[in-house]
Amino acid sequence: MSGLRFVPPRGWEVLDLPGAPETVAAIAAEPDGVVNRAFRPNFVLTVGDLSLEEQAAGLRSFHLVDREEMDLAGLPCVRTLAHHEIDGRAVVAEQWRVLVPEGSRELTASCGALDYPELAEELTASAASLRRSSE
Amino acid sequence: MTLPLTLEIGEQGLDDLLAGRRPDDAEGLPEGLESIMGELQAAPCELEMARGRRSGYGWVGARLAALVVPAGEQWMLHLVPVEFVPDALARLNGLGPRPEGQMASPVRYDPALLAQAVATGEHELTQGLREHWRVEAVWPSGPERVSRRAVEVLDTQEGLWLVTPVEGQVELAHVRPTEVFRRLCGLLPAPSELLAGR
Repeated sequence: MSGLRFVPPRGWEVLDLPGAPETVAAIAAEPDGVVNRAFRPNFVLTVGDLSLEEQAAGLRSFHLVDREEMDLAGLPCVRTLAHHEIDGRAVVAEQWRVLVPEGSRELTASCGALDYPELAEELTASAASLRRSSE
Repeated sequence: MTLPLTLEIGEQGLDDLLAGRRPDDAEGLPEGLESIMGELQAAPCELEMARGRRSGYGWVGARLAALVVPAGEQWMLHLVPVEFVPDALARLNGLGPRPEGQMASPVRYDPALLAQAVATGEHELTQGLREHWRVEAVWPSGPERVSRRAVEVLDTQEGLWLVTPVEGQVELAHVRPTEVFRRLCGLLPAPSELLAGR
């Protein structure tokens, strides 16, 4: 288990991932069940096995926009904002990488670039809800 | 044609493309580029870009956008799907991580003072100035009316300052690259804003 939990934006669907017990994922709700976004916004909380550089090497057209060290819910955190391409879509990925005694954990929010202004505050608020599972 | 497409082109070649003509020296140019560029001249949204004393231009259609910026004696043409425009603008303006440090409070200045400070570099505002850049989207919003939205930045050694007009002055807000990128992602008009101009 990741040892952490977070509260996804209101109305988002939490996904059951039987093959990945250490991962928690949530995906944006679509009004009336109609998928109307080119790229469906999502959150993924998982074990951070790869460095940012290793992640970047596996992504198309990766562009690191921002990087800062911060405190997230009392945990040391590195937040990054990046842009990359997935299947021809322009995707913004905001990632909070925290260090817990068990190791590195990463919470990643992804959405279409043109959706980012509308979602940015919600994504930040969800990231701020990150807690140890025991709390 | 594979997108995004980036190519260097001379003044005459660019003029031909913008007129929807295939340049005489079209070696290396993708087939059909002239048609795309010609059609984009009728696009409802245009971009005006400034970086220091250099000026660039852009046209944003329903699916594709073309950005043209100076590259020495030539021009650099970027043809991208519309959703890639924010990142293209970010890359053209060197947006990336900046040194960490204390974020300063917003300050307001007379616009003329800011313009002078940028031009001369002889002011505390522009000490450590790396670049001053501005991108503005312009689109019709009604009969004989246009709407505009801009992102203007002072990029300094100490970080990024977002420049916003406020009550006859300009406000400089010390921001992270994330905030600038968020504004770039929201620069283009939403479909509903374009419809308002029809």
